Formats: sequence, structure tokens, C-alpha cells
Amino acid sequence: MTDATSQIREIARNLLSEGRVQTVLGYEEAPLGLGLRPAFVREPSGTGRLVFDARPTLGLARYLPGEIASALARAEDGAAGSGGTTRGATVAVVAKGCDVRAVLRLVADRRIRRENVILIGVPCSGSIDEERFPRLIAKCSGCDARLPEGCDFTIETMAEPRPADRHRPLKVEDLEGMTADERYTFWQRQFARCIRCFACRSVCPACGCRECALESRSPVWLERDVNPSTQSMFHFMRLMHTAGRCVDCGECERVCPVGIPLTLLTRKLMSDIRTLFGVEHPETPGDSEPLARFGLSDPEEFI
Amino acid sequence: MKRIGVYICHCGTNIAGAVDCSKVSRYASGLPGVVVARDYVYTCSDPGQEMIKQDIAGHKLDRVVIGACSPRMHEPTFRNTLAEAGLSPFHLQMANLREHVSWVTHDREEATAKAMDLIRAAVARVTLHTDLASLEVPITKRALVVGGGIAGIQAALDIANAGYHVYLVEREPSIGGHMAQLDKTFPTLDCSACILTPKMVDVSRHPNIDLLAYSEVVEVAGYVGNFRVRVRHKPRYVDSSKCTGCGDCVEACVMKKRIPSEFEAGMGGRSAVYIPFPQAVPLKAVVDGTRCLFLTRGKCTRACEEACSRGAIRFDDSERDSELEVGAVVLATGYDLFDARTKPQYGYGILKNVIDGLQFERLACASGPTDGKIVLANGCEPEAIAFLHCIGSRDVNSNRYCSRVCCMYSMKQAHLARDKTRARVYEFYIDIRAAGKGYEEFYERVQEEGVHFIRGKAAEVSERDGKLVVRAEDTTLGRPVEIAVDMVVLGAGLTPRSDAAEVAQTFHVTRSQDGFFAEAHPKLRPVETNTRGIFLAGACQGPKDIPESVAQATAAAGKVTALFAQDFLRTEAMIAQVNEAMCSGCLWCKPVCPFGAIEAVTITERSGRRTVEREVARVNPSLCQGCGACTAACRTGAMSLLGYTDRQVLAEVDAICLGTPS
Repeated sequence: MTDATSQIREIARNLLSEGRVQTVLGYEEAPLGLGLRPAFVREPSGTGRLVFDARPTLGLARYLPGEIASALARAEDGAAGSGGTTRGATVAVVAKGCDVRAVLRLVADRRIRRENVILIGVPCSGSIDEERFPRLIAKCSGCDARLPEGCDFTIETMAEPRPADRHRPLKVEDLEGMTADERYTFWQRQFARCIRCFACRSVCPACGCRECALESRSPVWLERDVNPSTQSMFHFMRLMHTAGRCVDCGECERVCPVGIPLTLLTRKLMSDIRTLFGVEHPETPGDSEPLARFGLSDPEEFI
Repeated sequence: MKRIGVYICHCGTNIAGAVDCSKVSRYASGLPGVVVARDYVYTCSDPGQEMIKQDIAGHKLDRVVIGACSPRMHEPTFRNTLAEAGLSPFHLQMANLREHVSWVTHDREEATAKAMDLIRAAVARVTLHTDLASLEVPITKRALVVGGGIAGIQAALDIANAGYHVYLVEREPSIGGHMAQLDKTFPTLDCSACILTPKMVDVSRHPNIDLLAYSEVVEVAGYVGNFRVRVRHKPRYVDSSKCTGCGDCVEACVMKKRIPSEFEAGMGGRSAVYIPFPQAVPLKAVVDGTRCLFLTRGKCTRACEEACSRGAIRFDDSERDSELEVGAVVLATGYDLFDARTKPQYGYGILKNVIDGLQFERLACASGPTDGKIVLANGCEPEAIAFLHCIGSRDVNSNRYCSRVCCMYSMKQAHLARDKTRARVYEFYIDIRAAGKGYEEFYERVQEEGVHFIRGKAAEVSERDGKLVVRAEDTTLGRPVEIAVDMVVLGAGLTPRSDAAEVAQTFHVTRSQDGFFAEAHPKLRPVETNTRGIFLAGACQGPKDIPESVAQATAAAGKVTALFAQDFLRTEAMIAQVNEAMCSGCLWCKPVCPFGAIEAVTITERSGRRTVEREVARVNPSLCQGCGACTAACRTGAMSLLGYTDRQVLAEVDAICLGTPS
């Protein structure tokens, strides 16, 4: 049991037994040694299941809108049954730096309210892929947000040393160094592998449409047949729908079963926003969403 | 199947010169749904419209496509045609064969093919058109005039005299603007203050005018007929209801005459508590919060307070905002004089006795700091004066445009110099631009008065042996000249106000390339902006002299009163609409709406076995102007613009991309 695990368990137990939260969203051991899986702990007695370590884990932010909604509904039913008043139901969530930004994304998009979430921040020095030989997973390479900020609780652990990146993934600079033709060929090759499983869409904290444009049947924005044009279109549409709102959590790339380097695309977009709009941290949601406001100094080279 | 009529307009030779119109109409007749297709020389003419009406009746048309000019020009015309024939005016689609085809495509074959593409797209789209409805909203019959110079004053008086209420907002403590600083006006040599002051008094006494001096507009929301304006009133630190403008506090102030006076263009001093000029309206003192020793450092004897017998000084005054509701706005924010410091070769700000045009006005003015004596910094009368034209104007390095007034004001000042001193007077000019009533005659008069005109732009001013030396090329003689003078007056041009960009954004108006506010059309809509209900007057639109400013102010006032003569305005029919089932309630559409038309509403809906509450965006149809910014901001596709729905636009795109012209 690591230090982080015991601290998370204690915080979770306190929160649940004091009735401050209805659910703690954390991680537990998956059966058959398959790593970590999300855990929904609703009783103080269940907090012993909670575990945290450096194995790659699913970001939990995506579960919050549904969990908060059902917690609210339960609180309402309880209040109606006991004749009491409805209390703001709250869900606690274990979050790494990237997950915290994902939660803030949901708040900025008004899909949840900040007061309904208790953030248990865990410092993270990157997730380790142990399958073949231990190395940082691609999305954690180059991450500079390992210490979560603005959390209600922060787990105190020393950042553990991690093995060096043996396989340096492609960076935005590498992409920008290519000629247009090389880039085109590169992405056509990447997108050709796509099986349109929609995992990248489903895991994205910035995707919140009630009807996804990628699946819309009226109008049909994306044809169903598989050809290079629709393969690219799928990814460009997804990318543009998260432009200016992507929090660089890298979950899209982590879950991609065919290994398309999707963070390369999102990070290129962020680098452009940084250059064009002078926004230092385009991945941090806040009042100054660069693509949702108009400023006198905005670049207008195209006009 | 819809029954579509297609009409291809020749527009004389405007379209027919480049497009084979009869070929396009033959092609159109074969498109799906088209029951009649014709080409006609002037479709917008009376017989052209009559032809369409007869076809609507005879062929039982329910959709009409017109290939002609820009819909900006004639969409309202043809909508009326349809309405008169008993069809919904929105069952029309125009294809812009003039601006999009004949004016930009020179190859006849290509132009004809492109025209066919556009007609095919329009036919594909028009079947999806629906009937749209607009609302009638009442007009707030009060106007806001921004800027209290001569243009703002004139506009305010004209609107007020028509019987409507006017708020006149001026950022300075007094109205009057630059005209109040001038001595005489060209070419009639009227005393500027003598003709302006009565108008200023009229404004302050007019029962229909609320004068909001020392105030600034900080926010404008709403739309034509119903603007909501937030005005910030700067603290005067003087109770205006008690102050009589006696000036006792000004005399008592320990900073007496130690602060350069803005009104005197820095030629005189003022106190920290001051009255901008003797004829100021309102004639009330004001404490300069940035210079008052008590307000900045807390250390002062507060002699002003003691001196004021009415107890009007109030150091606890603070900034406050108020909300106005108005139906129309006249922008008359004026100009800045070109800052001659940016041209160091002329020595402005470096050499004594190099002054700009406004400073000379104050020297020449009988109520100015020298009581109208034209003197050097040492108090002596100059023996020679040089007037330099085109400072900052007609110059690729600063402003390319001609500032229109500098020739005339420099010559008027030359006249004043000859009149009041025995000095030799030189005018260094590129051209004399004297195109106004009596202007050329004034030019001749000044020449006869013995002013030396040297044709050539002055290159530099330097100091030698206590004299100022002006170097120039005399282009009539073709050789360089050097003339020693005692005083140099720079005929500085006019520039947009330094904060014109912010003001343009506040009022949602555009600016032209030179930075002045842009009119909606340079010839046909010279006092309107592209934002309905916001009009322009005076030099904020471009350099103007007093008669032109007054004429434009009256024109703007005429536009405002014409608007107010109506009781209702019809709202846009092509407005944004939210599909609440699809709206995820992120409200990213809200901050991009320039009209404040989007708000969050809570809806209840069924989700499974439960009734849940959810926030979604909703468009206020009377505020929405149909700009479509929200539809671009909406990722979820819940927002659509009526008349430009996804299906309608996609039908056009598909028709252009997938079809082939025969």
C-alpha cells in the first residue's frame, strides 16, 4: 500500500461518514490483474477498496455529470421521504493534474457545478506502461501539470522518480518541421488505421453535445463509408469541436486502440492558440477562453 | 414538388456583358422543380416585377429564384414583389450574378458556367425555404449624442427641437469641443466663441436635453430603437447644484496656474480645481483628481474648501454609473490634433516658439493667456512667422489623407498675424486646398495682405543665432530656401481620437482604413454606420471644418427624427433559434452575441422516469439581429439561423459540389 492510497482512503472515509459526499470516485484493483479500474464508493466501509499508483488509469471526470445527477436525484428522494430539504449533493473525485483540468472543463461548460465536486488532488509524475518494458505512456511525456492546483484536498507524496522516456514520442516541433506534403502523408497514414470506435470521443471531457455531430443523421455531416476523406474528416471534426476547449488530458490518445498520436494534433492546436492569442495556458479552462471572446488585439491577418 | 420560377436579370449589360443569360435561363428550366425560367433585361423594373407576379399567378409558383445583383440591393424589392403576388416574401432566393460573377469573372464561358452553378444552388436551396415572421417592437424615442463639440451640440439641438429627448454625453467638464478653443473662423472671420457660446447655452437650457458632462459611455447593448447605455459619471468633487462658478476656489487653490491648461493647449496654466474656460457650460468648477494635492497625497490646506462660501467642494465624491434607454445614437466624438512631437525634424516640443495650430489659436484669442497678443515665449513680438502646412497629413509616413482644414486655418492664422503684428509671414505649402464657399476668395485676400507663399513642404526647423531657420525646397524656383523666423506654427492635421478603436468597439461600429469611424456607404449613406440606429456627425468620421460638421450633424439628427417618427420597428425575421433538445447549456453563445440577445432559461423535461430541470440558451427575438455569430460559436448545432439553416446551406453546397452544369 502506497502512501497515496492510505491518504485517499482516509479522506474518503471521513467525507462519507461525515455525510459531506454521497460518492467517492476513485480507483480499485481490476480482477485478473488487469490494472486499475474506476471505483464508485458510496459507503464508508467500501473505502478499503480504493487504490492509487502509477499504473495508467482512466480519467474520472467523464463520470461526474451522471454521478452528480443521480446523487442529486437520490438526495431529492431522501429529502422528500424524510420531509427534509434538498441538500446540494456532492461527489468527491480522485484527480491527477490533467483530471483537475478536465473537471474544470466540465464546470466551464456548465455541465456540472464546482460546488457539487470535492477534488482530491494527487501529485503525479506520469503513468507507467508496464506491458513490455516500463516507460511513461505517451500522453504523460512532456506533461507539465503533475501537481494538481485548486483542489479541496491534496495528497502529500513525493514525486517518485520515473524511468526516462526511452521512446520519445513525436512532438509538435517535429510536426512543424515537416513539409506540407510530408505532414499530409503522415496523417493519412495515421488516420488510415482508425477503426472509428469513437473511444476518443467518448472519453473526452470537452465532448458534451446532446447529439454528436459525428453521428448526426440529419444533416449527415460525416458519411459512414470508409475512405481517406471521411477518415480525416472524422478526426478534424472532433478536433475542431474541442478547439480552444481541449484540456490536454491526453485521454483520447491513451484509449486509442490503434495508437493514433492524437495529442500531437491537440497540442499543435494549443501551440497555435498560444502564438496567435498570447494565451499562456490554453489548456486551463477559465474566463478567458481564447476562442469565445473578441479582443481588439486579436490577430486578423486573414481579413 | 415545389413549383419554382427562375428569373435571370441582364442588369443592362452589367450581367449580360459577361454572362450568356438566355443560356443560363434555358439551363435553369431543366432543373428539378423549375416550371418557368426567363431572362429579362431589368428584372427589378416595374415590367420585370409585373412579369414575376403574372407567373406566380399563371404558373402557380410557390418559390422564386432571381439571378441578379447583390441581395443587399434588391432583396427587399423582390420580397415585396412576392408579397404583392400573395406569396410569402421569404420564399425567394437570390443568386448574386453581378458581384459574384460578371464583375469578377472575365471569361464569358467561365462566367456563364459559374452563373449556372449558382442558379442550381439557389434552386436546390429555395425548396427548403420556410415562411418566417417578424415582430413589431416599440421604439424608445430618446436619443443619445456622444460628444459635445459643435457637431454634437448641433445634433442634440436639432433632435431636441423636433420634440424628442436627448442625452448629450461629454467626457470633458464642459461642452464646446475644439471649436471653443478657436479664435476666429475662416473665411468669414467670425469670432468662434461668439457663434458657439449661444448654442452651448441653448443646450444647457433646453428642456429636452439632459447634459451629462464629465461622463463617458462605457457599455452599449441592445439594438436600433432599444439601446441600453451605461454612462460613467466621473467625480467632479464639486456639488454642481451648489456651485455658482464664481471661481473663488480656483483663486484659492495652492496649485494656482501650475498645471498646464488643456483648454489653452498648454499655453496657460490652471489650478487643480478649475473652470475649463470662462464661457464653459456647465459653468461649474471641477477638481482634477489626478493633480489635486489633497486627493493624490492627502496633504493640502484645502484652501478651496475654505474659500467656497456655498460649501460646494466635496472631496468624498466618487464615480457612479447610470443606465439610459435610447432609440438612436449620434456619435460626434471629434478628432485629435496630429501630435507634432512624432515629427522631431520640426522641433515641436524641443524648440521654444515652435507651436501647433491650436496653440496659435489660443495666442491670438482675446480671452486667451496673452489677451490676444501674438508673442514669443519671452514676451516679445515676433518679427517673422512661418506657417508650415501638411504636418502629419498627405504623408506616407504618418497619415496619407488630406486633413482638409489646415490650409484654411493656416491662412486664417497668417491673416491674424498680419493683422495683429508687424511680422513678415511665410506660408510653406504643397498645394492650397481651398474648396469651399468663399475659401478661394479668402486665399486671394491673404495673398494681397502681403503673406509670402512658398510652394514646397518645409523639411526641417533648426535653431541658429537665436532664430528659427526653416529649410525647404522652393519648387516654383527649383532651389532650396532657408528662411530665418522667430516663430514657427505647425499646420498639424487631424487624426482619429486616440481611443477611437475602443469607442468603435463599445458602439459596435467599424472604422475605415485611416482609423476614423466608417460610414455605411460613402455616397448614399454618409451619416449612417453599419450598425442600425447609430449615426455619425463631425470629424469622428473624417476631417471636417465647422460648416461641414454642422451640416452632417443636422443630417444625422434628421435620420434620428425620421426613425422616431415611426411608432414600431419590424424586427429581423432571419434570427437565431435554439433547438432546446440539442442545447447542452454551455452558453458559449452568450458572450459572442453583440446584442445581448441570448439568455439562459431553465426548462423541465423528462429523463427516464424522472422530471429534471436543465438550463438552455434562449434567443430574444426582438433583440436578435440575425448576425449568426452564435451559430458559429455553438458546437452542439443547437443554434441555427432561420433562413440559413444547416439544411438550406448544405443543399446549396451539395448542389454546387455534386452537380455538373450541362
